[in-house]
Amino acid sequence: MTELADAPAHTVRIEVELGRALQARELRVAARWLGEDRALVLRDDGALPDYDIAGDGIFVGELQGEPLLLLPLEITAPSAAPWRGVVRLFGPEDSLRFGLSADGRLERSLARPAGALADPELPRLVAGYGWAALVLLYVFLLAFGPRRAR
Amino acid sequence: MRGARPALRGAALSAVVYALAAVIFSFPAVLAGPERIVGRNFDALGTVWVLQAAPRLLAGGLDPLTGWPAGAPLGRLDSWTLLPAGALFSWMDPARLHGALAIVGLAVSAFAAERAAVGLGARSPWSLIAGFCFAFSGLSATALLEGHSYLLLDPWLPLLGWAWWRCSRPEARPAHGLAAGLGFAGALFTSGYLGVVGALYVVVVGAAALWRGQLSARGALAALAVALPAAVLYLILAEGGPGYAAPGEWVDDVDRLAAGSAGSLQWGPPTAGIDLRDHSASVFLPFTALSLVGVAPRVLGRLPGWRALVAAGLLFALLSLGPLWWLGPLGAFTAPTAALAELPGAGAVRFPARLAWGSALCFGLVAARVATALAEGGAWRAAPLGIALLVDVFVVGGMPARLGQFPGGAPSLYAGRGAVLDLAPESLGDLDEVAALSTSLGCAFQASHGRPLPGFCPYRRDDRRFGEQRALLSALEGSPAGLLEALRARQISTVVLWADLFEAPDRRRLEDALLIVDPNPVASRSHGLYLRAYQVPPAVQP
Repeated sequence: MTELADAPAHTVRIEVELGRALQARELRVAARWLGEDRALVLRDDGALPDYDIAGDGIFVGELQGEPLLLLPLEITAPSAAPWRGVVRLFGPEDSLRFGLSADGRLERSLARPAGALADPELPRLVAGYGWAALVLLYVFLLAFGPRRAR
Repeated sequence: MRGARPALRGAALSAVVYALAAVIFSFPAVLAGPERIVGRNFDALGTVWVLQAAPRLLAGGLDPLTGWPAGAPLGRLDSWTLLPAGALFSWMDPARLHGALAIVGLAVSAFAAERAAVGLGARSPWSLIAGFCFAFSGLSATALLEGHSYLLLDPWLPLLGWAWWRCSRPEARPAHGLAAGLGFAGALFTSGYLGVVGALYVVVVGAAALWRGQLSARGALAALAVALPAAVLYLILAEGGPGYAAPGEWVDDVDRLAAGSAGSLQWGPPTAGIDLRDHSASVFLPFTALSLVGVAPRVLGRLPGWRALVAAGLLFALLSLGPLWWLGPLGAFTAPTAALAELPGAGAVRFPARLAWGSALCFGLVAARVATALAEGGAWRAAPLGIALLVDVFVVGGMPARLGQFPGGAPSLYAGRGAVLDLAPESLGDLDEVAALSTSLGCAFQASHGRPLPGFCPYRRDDRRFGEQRALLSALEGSPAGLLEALRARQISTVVLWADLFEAPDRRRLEDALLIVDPNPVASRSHGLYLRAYQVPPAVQP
């Protein structure tokens, strides 16, 4: 049984991408952490240098506490309906990403947007299929290469 | 005798390699125990519950500890091997047994596939490819992440694959037929899906052998003598054997069948989205094995039997895609195989994606044979195949990094006697997973505290607990006496409120009302959850 007196801390990083077009100074997050109400302000000022670039339209903040399995959240952003829900955590560090859907609603994102790529899954898929092509080429060389042909 | 020693060395090498790979692939399953349940999705918790409950479920009748007070039938169980395993190892902690089953299952299944490949002409170490393709694919990762550890313990399909292939050769003996029948029966009782895979494999490879006029009649009859009684017994049990409910819901519409199918993307490298919630459905087979299958016509040429295996593998791949093909931005198209969904009984195959286990076996066997042939042109030239295979399994496939865990045991506030009602939200908008998770956690907690629950285990969408909750919430609208009366009528001794999961107004209303039941609730912040336990006072006898 995991008792919490000697349990390690749990960090949950929340990132909301609004894009540069939407003007906002900060976003507010309300959370429940093991029976306590928590308020968090997400900023885009580069205050978390490892995770945030000032002015890139991605608002970042961190919650910390005792290990948590299910995190109830409410995220409020300007010109968008608030996002409410419960998120399953895995610990000891979780990153939760949100973005704006095409119709302007906040929604959970799969991965942090990577540069100009529209689909955040794309880098992983490109790497995977690139590897597949490499393996296929090698196997074809083995099968059709000069030594085999002899 | 001279050949026996290298063969033994090959078998020993594969046993060691697969044991090591199984521990790494499933890590931290090797550390599973009272403090840790390994798995990412909620079904893992249900499996642990089944393992713990196995002795009383096997005793027949209704389970007295769920569906309280009437008891609950066991439904929706895909495997008939999990219950005997749970009963046989009832002395073990169920979470530890769950982890051990995963490790042993991976290693044994891989070893069986590797031995089958050797039986089909592959040589060590190239035969290892068959085991990695069959037992360390995205399908195994999915079974681990979802907690379906019984799917991992499957030496039966490889046994069937090898033995039935031998039956399709002129030198077949009745013993091969008996082994094929045993393999089919084992696969069927391990999972209905594996049974379907086995039956289709028999049809495809058997038809090819018939076409060549090489199917052994004695072998086929021997196989039938074992497989037929097993299939009849399976159907009898599925129709409602002692203590069991119907085998589970059948899917009667194409859309739901399509939801359980493998999308084209699921055959590719697993993405982060696959693991985001609910299920981790990936089919991904090692690219190395698929590439080797791709050059089989060039490398294996006129060698016998491999075409039937590739045909069977392709058939399973096609069927795993289900009745609708999802082609990314192009949308969904009706598959040429869609008419199969209308066949009687097709609705029982709720997750067509699992038919890809057949592809994993057939492609693995062929890939191992191709690699053996390629290595004849120079083993060192082919050596990078091994590295590529490991990259496929552990880097592209993403294991064990994708695996999660849950805290084991139960919070101390569950200690006590009498039935416990876990009060958690029924649904949270699009986050239905939370209802499944809270129910499954309640089941896993019960595996530790042993008190009766009004709900069903493993999680079902029609959980009886939800009905109880609705009745209690109605009682809340009335008088405090009404609430107490409702709890006593249901013989509930303790109400555990999963307080944080309710929205603030509901939470406050529930907490206030339950204070009338017990003004001194016990709170717990254990297991990453905030829970409050309210003891229901017994009625005062007049």
